[in-house]
Amino acid sequence: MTTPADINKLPADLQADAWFQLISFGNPDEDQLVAYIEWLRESDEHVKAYGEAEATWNLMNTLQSEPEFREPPSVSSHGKVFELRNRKPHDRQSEPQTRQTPAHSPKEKTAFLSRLKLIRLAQWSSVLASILVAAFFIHSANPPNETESTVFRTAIGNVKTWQLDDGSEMTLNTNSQVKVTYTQSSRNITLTRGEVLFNVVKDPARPFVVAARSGSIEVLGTLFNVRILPGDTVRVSLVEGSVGVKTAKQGDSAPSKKLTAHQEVFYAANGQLSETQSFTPADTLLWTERKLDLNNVLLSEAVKEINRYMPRKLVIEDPGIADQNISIFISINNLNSLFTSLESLYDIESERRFDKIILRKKNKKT
Amino acid sequence: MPSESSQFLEIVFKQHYAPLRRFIRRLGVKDEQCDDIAQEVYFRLVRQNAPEKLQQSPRPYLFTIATNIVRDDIRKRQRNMNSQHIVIEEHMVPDEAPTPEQRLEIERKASALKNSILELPQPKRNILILNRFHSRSCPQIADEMGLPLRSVQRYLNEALNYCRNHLSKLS
Repeated sequence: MTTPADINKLPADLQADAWFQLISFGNPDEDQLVAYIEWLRESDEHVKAYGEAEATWNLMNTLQSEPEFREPPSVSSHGKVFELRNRKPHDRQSEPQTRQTPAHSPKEKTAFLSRLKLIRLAQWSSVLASILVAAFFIHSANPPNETESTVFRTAIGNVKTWQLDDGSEMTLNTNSQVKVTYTQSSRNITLTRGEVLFNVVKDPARPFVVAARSGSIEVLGTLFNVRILPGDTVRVSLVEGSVGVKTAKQGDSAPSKKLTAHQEVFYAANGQLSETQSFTPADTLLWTERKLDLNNVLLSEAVKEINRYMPRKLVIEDPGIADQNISIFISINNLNSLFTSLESLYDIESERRFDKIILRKKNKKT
Repeated sequence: MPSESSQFLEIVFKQHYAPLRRFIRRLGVKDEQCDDIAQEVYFRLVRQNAPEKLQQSPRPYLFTIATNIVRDDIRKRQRNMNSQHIVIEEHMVPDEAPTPEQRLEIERKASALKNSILELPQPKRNILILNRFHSRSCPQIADEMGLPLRSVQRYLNEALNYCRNHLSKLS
């Protein structure tokens, strides 16, 4: 564990990175957090260096799915580093010799490392070369068949798009969470909350299945939106391609409900499927442009929809205004404009509290 | 958001209010500002909406949020001194989507960063990749590679420093 005392011993330009790691990934305790703030307060240089360290790491986030970094480099337990990438075909022929290269014990290795940098680098590269083939065999003996799930989520008010390993894309709306489990023969997605738009790359060998509450959607290549509505009803809206919707209620043998482009279907928490109906993709997918179009709806309904994007929830204090109809078009990026519009167009005023925002009829006193 | 979970946040927040406030004092915040910071902690708690974190380890989670707020405050003040700009309350505005120009700039920087990572000599490159892209901790990497923990930490820091210098030359 890195301690603040360790960090202070580092050269100045490395301190910021060390702090960043400790704070972000090191489960810092109370004293470490205090030491960190003290360090920041010490000088403007520290604040600046920390900002740069943080920016670098954030930028790295955008590189997560680059092909060069997607697979973890393989590393043996005896201090050798090898890479499966850039393996040349002729490496294979030298296999018998290279496999017999004696391995250095970890102890020797440590002693070795403390010597000159150049020697160390030379050693690294020779070990690298000698181990390439062994790596290939270890790798093929243990194909990566263990299933790993990745969870993606968005905070309230955020909309974010991710590209998955197979090239499919998913865009999560506010306060949404999706679990992705890819294997060599399947692509399983679970929508645990919120709303998501999928743009699926066709791969008949690996069916793409989205589970949401009481049902699931099986996909070939397609563009479709899934939303969990209040009361655990799920809405599936197909923009392009074709999907089959199945719920627990129907049983395994029953055929799934097929949707064609511009059709949507709802299923309830008990698995009851609705009739298919048509919808307008531009409206249903408006959220991907971070816009909200509420056209002639009850204020109570509008508040429910807006609250999906609000960390601090709107609360209607005055029941008299709840069934008033309003029309409003706002950008999710600028929800502040909502209050200006409500106050100028309607007879409504807002009061911000630290945990909620209260809407009421405009005060008569002038 | 179901009302149960917001109630849960509120209950846990109130339970830990006194130690949280003491901790904020320890971060060198003036007494009269402590309640404001604590309120901001509550706000971020609601916004992050990760009740499982609050359930598992409420105090470290709350303290980390408070630390981030104090850090942001220190930054804002520094920025204000440098630029005379007034910082707008950012509470209500979720993260803005980047403009096309910003996106281009991010892409340009990202590809420069990628090149600098690929330029790194081993074992620095693999250590950085394992740590950053495959969330391996330094002790895990030390174990896997049979290197002393301190060397792994030093390599990682040097690797990062190299990438950062590379990036700062860009701008």
